[in-house]
Amino acid sequence: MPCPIALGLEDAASAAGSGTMRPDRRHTKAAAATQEDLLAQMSANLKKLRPYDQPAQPQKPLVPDAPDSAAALWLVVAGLWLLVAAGIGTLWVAQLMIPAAKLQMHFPLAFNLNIWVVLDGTRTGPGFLNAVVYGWLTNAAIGAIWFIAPRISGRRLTSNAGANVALGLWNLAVLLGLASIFLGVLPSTGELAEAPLPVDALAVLALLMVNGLYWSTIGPALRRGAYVSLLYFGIALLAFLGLYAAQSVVPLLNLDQTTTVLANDFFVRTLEAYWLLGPAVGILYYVIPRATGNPLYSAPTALLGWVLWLVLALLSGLGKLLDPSVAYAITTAGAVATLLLVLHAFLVVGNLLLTVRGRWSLALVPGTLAFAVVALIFLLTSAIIEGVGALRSVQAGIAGSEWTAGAFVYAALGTYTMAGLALVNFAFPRVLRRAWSVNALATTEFWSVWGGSLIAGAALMLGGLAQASLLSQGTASDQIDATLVWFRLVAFGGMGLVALGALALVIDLFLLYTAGRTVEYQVVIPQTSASTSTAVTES
Amino acid sequence: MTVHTPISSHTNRLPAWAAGVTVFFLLVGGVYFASNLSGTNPALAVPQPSAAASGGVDTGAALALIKKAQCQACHGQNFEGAIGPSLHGLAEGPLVPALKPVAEEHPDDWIHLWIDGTDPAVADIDRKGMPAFGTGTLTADEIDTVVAYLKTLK
Repeated sequence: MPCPIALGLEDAASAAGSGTMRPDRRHTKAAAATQEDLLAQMSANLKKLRPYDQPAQPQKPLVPDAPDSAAALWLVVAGLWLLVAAGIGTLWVAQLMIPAAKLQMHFPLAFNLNIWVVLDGTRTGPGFLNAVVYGWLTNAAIGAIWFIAPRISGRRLTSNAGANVALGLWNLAVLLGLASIFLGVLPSTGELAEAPLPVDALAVLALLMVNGLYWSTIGPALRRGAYVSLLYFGIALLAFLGLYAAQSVVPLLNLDQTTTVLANDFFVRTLEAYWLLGPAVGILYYVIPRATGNPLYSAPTALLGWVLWLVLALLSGLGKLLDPSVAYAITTAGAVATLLLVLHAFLVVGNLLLTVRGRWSLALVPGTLAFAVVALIFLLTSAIIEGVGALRSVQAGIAGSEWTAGAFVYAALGTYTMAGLALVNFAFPRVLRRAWSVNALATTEFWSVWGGSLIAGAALMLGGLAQASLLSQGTASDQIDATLVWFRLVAFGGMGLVALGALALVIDLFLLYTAGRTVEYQVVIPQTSASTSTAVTES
Repeated sequence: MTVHTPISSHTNRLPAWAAGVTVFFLLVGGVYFASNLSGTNPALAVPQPSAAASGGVDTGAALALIKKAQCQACHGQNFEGAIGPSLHGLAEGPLVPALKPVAEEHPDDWIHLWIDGTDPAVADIDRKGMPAFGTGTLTADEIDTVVAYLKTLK
């Protein structure tokens, strides 16, 4: 049985600063005394002991103790959502191949009431979008924030219980939103966050709680400067709250159809740029220095990238306002901002690849660094894809084709998902204090998710190009469908691989928790000028 | 327990490559912006169906009214039927037997009468929870717009 080591936050922080570690001797002495007493009793009366006389085994709590219970719960729920989202995504691509394929379930209730759950292409598509963005990526991002923010800021999360309540509220809202899609309660589909107003109110309440907890946790630490990950998380959380609340209010304003559609397009683009991209980059800025043990290559480069992202993410939404009622220059400014997000990606990727220097061998096994490096490659390529798609000459060509869906799958399941998995693989063994090792499940998770997202995204984008080309030639829709079926078949295989990887992740986490060997982790804090390094115990 | 483990930086200067690539991208973006200042945006965000394709029906207005009246909540996202019946093929006549007498008596405007719900011709028919939209939700002209669109659903 491992000797438990308990550290107070201030003790640990001072230990980190001084380069020494002082375990709380009271706890270790007490534990050792109890252990010795039990052993003495057992050795004295070993033959007389009956099974129920054995000393009680310590109970393993279902939820890890604070301070990491919120991070653990959000990340577990995120893993489950990835599995659900990948499953819905596979069904969606299957229905793209066979549009007539429709699952319809009828639940007769009392008083002549009936519930019809219809799973057709018009519902599984939005269902997939919502499950990925609000289920998997949002839970993973907030779980990552609860894990990273206390460690960098040196301040405890102000309320784990509050974070867990927010988890319940948020996921209830996501579940109700998905149910409203599949039950056909929504007046229209195909858009993010168009849930019924009470559901949106629930989600906004959860986001308010998350923002409150985050800023109350890191606020005092900001006075002595903040690491770039905290800056990304802070802006992303505020933007998510503001955008979600604004989008929820739009249906109440009785705007005309064009304005409503334009507002939704602006919302979807800025939400992706702020809420999906921001936390992914924040995670990568944390896990790569941690996994390699190297210092970040250049803090000023990271800060420059953050400032660019802060401005360009907002402007990039303007590029989606493609309507004659919007001034041409405004839309062009949005297109330029989307193009310049390639610069942001270039700075992030260059900075972090230089951080890895001397540690490339760690990227050869499917662990945290391998996930992070693949996420960097996806980050740069997806930024280029978005940038090219925003060019005036390309926009008209790919409009109405499956290119947009392919670009989303590539970015969401490639860039953001791989960054999220890098964090999950890094954080979970530390949260649960379990030994992690490369096994068949981790290997399956790594290759299936990145391979599947690459295949599915590329197949849908190439299919979109073929579709746009055929549409411009005036080809009949049945002939277009006959051509696209091959692209969709490949995309189906890709989505299936992602679902397989998600299943491997969930099983791996379960086995890690139930059968993993208990360990304590150490993190090396490299000294930039001195030759010595400091090692402290990390949870 | 949480341990304060800050991440340090290898260098506190902006590397030359980062400054160079930033200037390069900003120049390219500036040139692109300057060369695309004038013009008219295509209507890509809100696809406008051609009059020929929609038979002269104002599809955009009809869909907005359908959204307002929340027809899809009961009749399905594609009007394929859910809690309420399918709305496809209404131009050929009603699918619900209870409406057939009304359709025979008012062949041109039975859909309007049914959606409106205030006319004596449909007063005795069990609406099975369907609201009477003529009581304030939709005007007579708006119901006509919706009916014209519904008749295009094959």
